[in-house]
Order: sequence, then structure tokens, then C-alpha cells
Amino acid sequence: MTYAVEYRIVSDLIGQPGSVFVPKPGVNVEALLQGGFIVAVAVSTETAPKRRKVKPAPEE
Amino acid sequence: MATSQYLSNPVVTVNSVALTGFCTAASVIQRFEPLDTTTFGETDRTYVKGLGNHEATLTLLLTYAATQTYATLAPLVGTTTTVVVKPTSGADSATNPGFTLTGALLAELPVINASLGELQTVDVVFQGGVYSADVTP
Repeated sequence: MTYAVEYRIVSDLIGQPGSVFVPKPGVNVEALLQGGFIVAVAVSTETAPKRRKVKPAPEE
Repeated sequence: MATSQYLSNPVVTVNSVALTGFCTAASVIQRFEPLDTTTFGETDRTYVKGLGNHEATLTLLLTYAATQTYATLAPLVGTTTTVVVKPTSGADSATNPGFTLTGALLAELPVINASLGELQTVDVVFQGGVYSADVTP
């Protein structure tokens, strides 16, 4: 399994709590983490396997 | 006729944190160091534009509660960040430019400034960085 780090908003001074935080250029992410404004969450980068299409059985 | 705008609701953002509700004064200065080009025979000093040396100064109510002013500023001391000050809360536009310093240094932070019977305020200065006045919504 491979993971990527994603940031989630904790404080409403940053945005909607719970939503993903995408830092703009120049933003000090470490300071936001240290201050408790956002949290880092590991998310899987693997995509779920596609479901096989099963043809319905012909009606008799 | 000259007009002046009464600003009662400017927007202040430091490192993406909205500090509007803690800020009582804000200024952003676009500044270039003047380089002296005066030569012999001239009677007045003349200058050309040198390096940009911009500055943003904020007066903030200092609170140590979680995710408020101290939590915003303390991790930034000695690092660079982005500061945005806008006249109003509307979208960026020619009449509401987002004055931005990107990569400005917070060199020092007064961590306590107590006076009897007064709310605690501190003045913080962000120095340098790239200045822009964003007018694109």
C-alpha cells in the first residue's frame, strides 16, 4: 500500500473544519501543524479495483 | 475632490489564518531602497529604485487560547510566510486589492505585553518578501 499526506482543516480560522487544506505558495505548513490549525492525514493512493461486470443470466 | 476610505472591516490573514477578529491596526508598506545617484555639479539629491524592502505591521490582541493569535505566530518566528491585508471582505478587485507579502520574515514576536486593566496587544512586523496587490477575484 502506498500513502500520500493530505492536510485536514481543524480551525475555522483557516476554512471549513474537516475539509482538505491545500496550502498556497508561501504558506508555512509546519507552523499550521504546530499551532493545531490543520492535521496531516495519510491517505491511500491506490485505487479500488474495478468491479467485474457480470452479465445477468438470460431469462428463461 | 480627494476622498478617503473609512476602513472598519479590513481582512487580515497571516499564513492562511484569518486574524481579522484579533487585529486592531494593520499597515502594508511597499518600499524600495533608494540608491543615491547624485553627482558632482548637482544641487539636489537624485535616486533610483533599489531592492524592494516591503513591510507589514499588525497590531493584534494577544491570546494564548488554542488556535488563536499566539498559536498562529509563535511557530512562525524566524521563518517566512504570507501576509494578506484587504480593505474589505469582498473578493479581490481593483477597488478591493489584496495587498500581499509572500515570503515575509517574522523576525521577532513580543510574547507578553501586559498592562494593568488593559487587553494585551502586540505589534508584529513582517519584513521583506515579494509584494503584490492582487485584483483578480
